[in-house]
Amino acid sequence: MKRVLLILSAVLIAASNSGFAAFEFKEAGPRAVGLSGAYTSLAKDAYAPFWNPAALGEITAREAVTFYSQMHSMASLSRSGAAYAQKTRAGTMALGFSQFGTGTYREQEIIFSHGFIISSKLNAGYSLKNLLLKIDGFGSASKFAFDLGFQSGLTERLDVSLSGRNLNRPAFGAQKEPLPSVWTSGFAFKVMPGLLLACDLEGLGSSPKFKTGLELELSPTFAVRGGLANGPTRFSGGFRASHGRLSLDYAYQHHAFLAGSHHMGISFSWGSPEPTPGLLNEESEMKPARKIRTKIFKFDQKINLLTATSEDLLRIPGIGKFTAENLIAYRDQVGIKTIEDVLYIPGMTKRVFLTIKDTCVVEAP
Amino acid sequence: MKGGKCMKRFFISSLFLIAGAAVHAQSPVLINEVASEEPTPPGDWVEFYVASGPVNLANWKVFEQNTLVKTFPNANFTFSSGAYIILNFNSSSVDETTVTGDSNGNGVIDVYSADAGLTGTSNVISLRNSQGLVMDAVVFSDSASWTSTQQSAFNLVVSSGQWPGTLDGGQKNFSQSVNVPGGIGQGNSIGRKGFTDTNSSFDWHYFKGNSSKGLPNPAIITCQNARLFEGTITEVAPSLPISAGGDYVELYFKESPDVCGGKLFEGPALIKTLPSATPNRGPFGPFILLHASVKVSASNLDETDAIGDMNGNGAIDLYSEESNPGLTGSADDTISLESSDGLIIDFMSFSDKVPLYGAALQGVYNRAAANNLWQPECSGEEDCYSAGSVAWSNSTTKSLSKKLDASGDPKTSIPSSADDWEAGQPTPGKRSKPSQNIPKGPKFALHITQSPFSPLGDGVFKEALIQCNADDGSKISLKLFDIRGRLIRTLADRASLESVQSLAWDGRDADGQVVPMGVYLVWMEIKLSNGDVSHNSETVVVGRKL
Repeated sequence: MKRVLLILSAVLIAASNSGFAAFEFKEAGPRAVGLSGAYTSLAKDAYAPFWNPAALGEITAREAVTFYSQMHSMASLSRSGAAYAQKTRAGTMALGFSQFGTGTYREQEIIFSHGFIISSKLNAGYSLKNLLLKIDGFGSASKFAFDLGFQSGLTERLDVSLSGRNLNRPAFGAQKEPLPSVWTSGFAFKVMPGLLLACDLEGLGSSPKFKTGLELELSPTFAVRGGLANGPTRFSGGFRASHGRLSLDYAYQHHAFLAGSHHMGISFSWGSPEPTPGLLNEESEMKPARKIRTKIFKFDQKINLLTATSEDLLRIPGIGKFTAENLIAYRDQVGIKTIEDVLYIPGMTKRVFLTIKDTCVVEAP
Repeated sequence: MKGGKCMKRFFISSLFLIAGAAVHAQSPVLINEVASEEPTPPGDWVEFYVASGPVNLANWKVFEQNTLVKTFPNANFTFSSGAYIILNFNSSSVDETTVTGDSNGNGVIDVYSADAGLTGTSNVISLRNSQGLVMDAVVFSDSASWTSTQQSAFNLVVSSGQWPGTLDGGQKNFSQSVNVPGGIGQGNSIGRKGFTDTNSSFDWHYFKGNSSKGLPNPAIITCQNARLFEGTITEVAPSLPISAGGDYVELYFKESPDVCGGKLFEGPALIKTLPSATPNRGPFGPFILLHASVKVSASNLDETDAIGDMNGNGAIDLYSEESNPGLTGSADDTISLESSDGLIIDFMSFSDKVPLYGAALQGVYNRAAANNLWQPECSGEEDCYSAGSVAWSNSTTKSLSKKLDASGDPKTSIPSSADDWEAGQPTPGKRSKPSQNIPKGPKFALHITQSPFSPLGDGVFKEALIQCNADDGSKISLKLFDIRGRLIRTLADRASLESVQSLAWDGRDADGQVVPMGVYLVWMEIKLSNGDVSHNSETVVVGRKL
């Protein structure tokens, strides 16, 4: 626990400089916006290049996303982008692109990201970015920038992360005005099955921004989320609707004076459909390092889920008290007829399901 | 701060807020120019301009910060529009009044104060009526000095609605005043750019070595270089009555030149020096319209790149600089357009075909013909000039206009001749064919021009111009946000004075710091007198040379 606190402390004291109007950080992806930008620890998808390249280490299947937003409901403040992530032998690689603005003012970002596993509890990643700025009547300029990220799964229910953007501080214009490097720290905590809490702290300079979001999975194919952030104070909300490998996300971000912002996105995964989209344990199941290092115990006799006690389930490596009690509660309240029914238990992950499938059976007593 | 002091400040502020609301309409008298660092004699002076007369200024008072420095005479002090009054410091001379008249013959009414002079660093000058209500004010600073007395006086004029700013803002108030780093200095002044009164520093300009005591403030010509542009005289209406809009000269431009410094002549007489305005850019279409019968004034300001299209007609509307404005339509006449350095650009001549075509006009005609802008060349042959001019029978309902080419645009080829012109129905600021006219857009509520701009001066524009369109009696709030929604600066929060108002944003935040390049949002709220509220937002881009 002391080690956890030390890591958390180190993460949360990451410093930053103040904001910058050109290439000002803009939340990419409706899930992130719905959580008010508390996403550094959750970006275990193709949005990782825009948030935290270390989170790419958690991706096991190919994934593609595309998104579009209209900030403050103004066409001149529209942003669009796309990203694709794929696991390789050397870790997970991703390519991202985004464009903001119109003909008068335009920012373009092309990102190559690489996320990899350092140890069973630590992932790292980096992004190499090309930033293009074009202002009507002032010309255009292109600069190189790089990001760095770390992510640690401290427990089954808690992830912490640290992400630094524009660490080389590229300078634009004849006046050589550098973009500030901004560090963001955050954590994601699985409060209970189907409920996720995420927090980010963007910078600790003169005006740190605190962001927090909650995501509630109402069914395996539908989730709602909301969040609150300061600097300025804003709230947001959104939802995800999934069908098979395809998911549609939408988010709305409020502002006290200006019109609200609308964000939408579509994501497609080549992996198996996830029974519990958008939850922390969904992502923690996909940590290959931990999967590789998990010792598979052999049982002389498989455990019957219809009669198993909590103690029986706790004997299975990777099954904790949390999952065991949740499974028994579901069995008693809803019922389990086949082993696949386990997938519909709120909060169930693919990794845990596969473990249960290997070690348990469903047989009428 | 102690509770009693707080209550006192609250009470005073409330009092002035109420009073400010009562006098939110534009003051009939404006503080027009201030020279605060003049050696004695003659010493410092403050110039007042009567924008809306007649107005009785008996017992009106002038304050320097919180100190009364002058009470105007208690009788015979009523003025009509356009009058100038000068308050001279460090003098015990007898005030001039409407009875004594301009006894020293300098063309204005002079009043005097025994006060030694103005503080030249940072100051607040306010004009209060006989009841003590603040009617107009100006705040200036030198980027260094900001005393508690200055703060107190600043708070008062802000509370009274005569100046925008942050109460008790300290040095933050530098950026909310007419800020002249180092001070105004001897021989210089600060003065109004025009007669539009938005009660803010945007109305004011630093005139270095160019003060104009008792005279209209110098036109702010921002021409960087002598300019030679292409433009065509396309319509002349020399005899339209004022009820029909009055005389005008219409110019047409294919390109987007800044016409700054260009000159329009009627015969040999200069009738207008063109301000910095760019056709075919921003709110403006291809036409410049000189209203030749109407003198430029507080109520008839030239439309420029800085001011924008105030009447929303898509043309650049300018007004005559003649003392007795108006074209001659009852005899022969010429109109010519010249560049800032005197090169003739276009010319037209019309004639009533009655001898004589005067010698002065012949000279202008000959010059245009010699420059291959008009034909035929007449070389002193008198009958030729009349025959070579557009035939014109004086009419109060018609104008002379350039014929259109095959594409429907006015003919711009040179040399031109009488055959290229015809008499017809006036179409000021428009093509003769209605179908060719640029459609007039919907009435805007919020419109931003001169964007992108760079406050560092490395772009075409140094300020963005924000135009608001609100009904009289409504309350306008203008705020500036960055792309993440953070408030950068409140640009205005006051009662609307005119239906169309223009504010400039100099690219600085509330602390007076130049903001980084990027996109910013201007948010406007209009509260109508009937309680209705509307909101509008527009983007403005701050650039830097990349």
